[in-house]
Formats: sequence, C-alpha cells, structure tokens
Amino acid sequence: MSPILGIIASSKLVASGSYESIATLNGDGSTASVTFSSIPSTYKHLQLRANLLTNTGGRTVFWRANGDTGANYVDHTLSGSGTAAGANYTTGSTAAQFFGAVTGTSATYPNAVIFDLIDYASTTKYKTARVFTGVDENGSGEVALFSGLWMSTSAINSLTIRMSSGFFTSTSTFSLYGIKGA
Amino acid sequence: MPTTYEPIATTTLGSSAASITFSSIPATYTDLKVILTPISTGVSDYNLFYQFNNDTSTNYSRTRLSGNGTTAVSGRGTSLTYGLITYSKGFNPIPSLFSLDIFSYAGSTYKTQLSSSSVDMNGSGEVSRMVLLWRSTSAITSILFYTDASNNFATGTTATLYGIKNA
Repeated sequence: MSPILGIIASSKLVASGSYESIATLNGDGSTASVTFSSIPSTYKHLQLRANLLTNTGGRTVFWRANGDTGANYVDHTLSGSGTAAGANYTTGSTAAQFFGAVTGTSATYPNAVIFDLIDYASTTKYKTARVFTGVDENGSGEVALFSGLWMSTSAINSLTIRMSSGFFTSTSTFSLYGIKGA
Repeated sequence: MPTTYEPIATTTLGSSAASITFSSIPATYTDLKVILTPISTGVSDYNLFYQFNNDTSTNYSRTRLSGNGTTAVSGRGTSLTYGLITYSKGFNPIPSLFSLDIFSYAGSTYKTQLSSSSVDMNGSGEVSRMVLLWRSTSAITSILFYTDASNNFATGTTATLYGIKNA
C-alpha cells in the first residue's frame, strides 16, 4: 500500500509551555537504582518516561519517594502475559511497582514505562501514581498497568527507581518531566 | 525550563484517504507520540496498521491486554509485517481514540512502543493497552498509518505527531 498523503514536518513549532523537562538520568552499568533529587515543587504533576535495559532479564523494578523505606506503599496491577490477563494487589510494601508484573524486564529488548505522579507537591494528600509499562520480545513479554499509592502527606522532592537485583545498563534512559497547573 | 512537548505535524482529512504518512521526522526529540481519531468509510470494524520507514519485513511484534465489556484477555502477535494497534474491535464510523508512544525513536536500539485504544459504540466496544516492538536499530524517519483494503480513513479523521524532548 502506498501512502497518498505525505506531511512534511513543520519547522514552526507551537510551544504550550505546560510540559517541561526537569532532568534525565542514565543507568551507569553497575548500579541497581537511579534517583531524581531536589525535584522542584513548582509543577502540578510529574511524568517519568523510561526506556530501560537491565543486565539480566526477569527483574522487577520499584519506585520510592523521598527515600522512604517504610511499609507505606500499596499498589494494584492489571497485566497481560501474552496468553492471559491477570490482576493483583499488594499492601504494606516498602516500595511500589514500576515494572515487572509477569515476566519482568528484558535484557535484550527495551522496556518502556510511562509513570504519572499526581499532585506530588501536595502537603495534605497521599500521593497516587499510575504506570503503563511493557516489553515485547517477539514471542514473550508483558504489558501492565499499575496504580501505586504512597501513604504520606509530604511533598515529594526525590524519586528513586530501583531494581530487585542487577543493574540498569548505560543505554537506559529515565526522563522526568513537570506538568504545570493553570 | 524549555518546553519539551511540541506538535510536529497534524493532518485532518478533508476527503477520504487510504493512508496517512508522517515523513521527514526530525531526529531532535527523545520520544514521539501520535494521537489518532480515525473514522472509517465502511460500516464495520477495521484494523489500524502502521509501518516505520516503509519497512515491510517481519520485524514487528506485539503483546496486548484488552477488555471488550465482558472479559479481559491477553495475546500476542509475532514476526508481523506491520504494527497493529487494534484487536477484535477495530475503528468504525464513530470516532475512536488511539495513541502511540514511540520510545527512543532516533536511537540505535530496537524500538519499543506503548499504545492505547478506546473504542465505544454504545453497547459494544473495546479498551486495549499494548506494547509493540520494531526490531530495527534504524532511526525512525517516517510513519505510515493504513487500514484494511476494504476501508478508507473518512473525512474528519485526525492524526497529530508530537515530539517529546528530555533535558
């Protein structure tokens, strides 16, 4: 099938000004975690987009706020393994899920994540995240949705993404964006 | 802070068309995002396919999770000659909403995508999330969206390509 409509990308860009890049981190090829620190409180929401690879496959990845290692996290999962849909939840966890609902990470094919953290700077509300993740390995893989709750009213000023074991390769990219309110 | 979520190109069809192409995509962003609201000229459900860089080889695959109003299911497709966002309920004369996030599109690794589809026809429909893979290390410079041979994209179909740039 041949295209009948070609569109040349416009060089005139329209800047909305409400979605800004805060920082980008890469894996270092030896460490199991990356941490965004000194996150400014000037946005309404945060979005983290990750394209990551791990040194070995089958790993799970979690997120933590403000370095809190207490049992203050809960999450729910809706996942697809390629053969079955599944649902799960955890309570009283020391971190919430970021990736790895079924088969875990791939060491060969990029694992993709869109992580939204809602009203992260509030000092009166618990913090809710939604996560859309997936990896496809042309015959295996998983796709998953997570909700995550950090039961704290503290404003979030740091965010850690941590593997269960192993490390993120240097080609792994974690990009944090801020979304402004009106 | 720089603004990092920018529209690259938009098309709104003034007449029906068999395909929509974004070409000459600059390599200056980190990720791409496409928002589509396709409308069919036919009356039934139609597939929404795409190909990168005119690649028609068996380099595409996907893992999906979907709910049709009755059950939730998961499945996969391997060694496909196209990317495919739709599953059992394709797009139809009622506008549907599809999005496609393409990660590290200008990088040298294989390209992973996350798609979201929302189709509701007041009594039938489907919601899906998929992860898709293009097994190529080439930078993506063009995206072709097309549908079944028995169908076209109708007047009013819209597609917008955004670029997302990290710090």
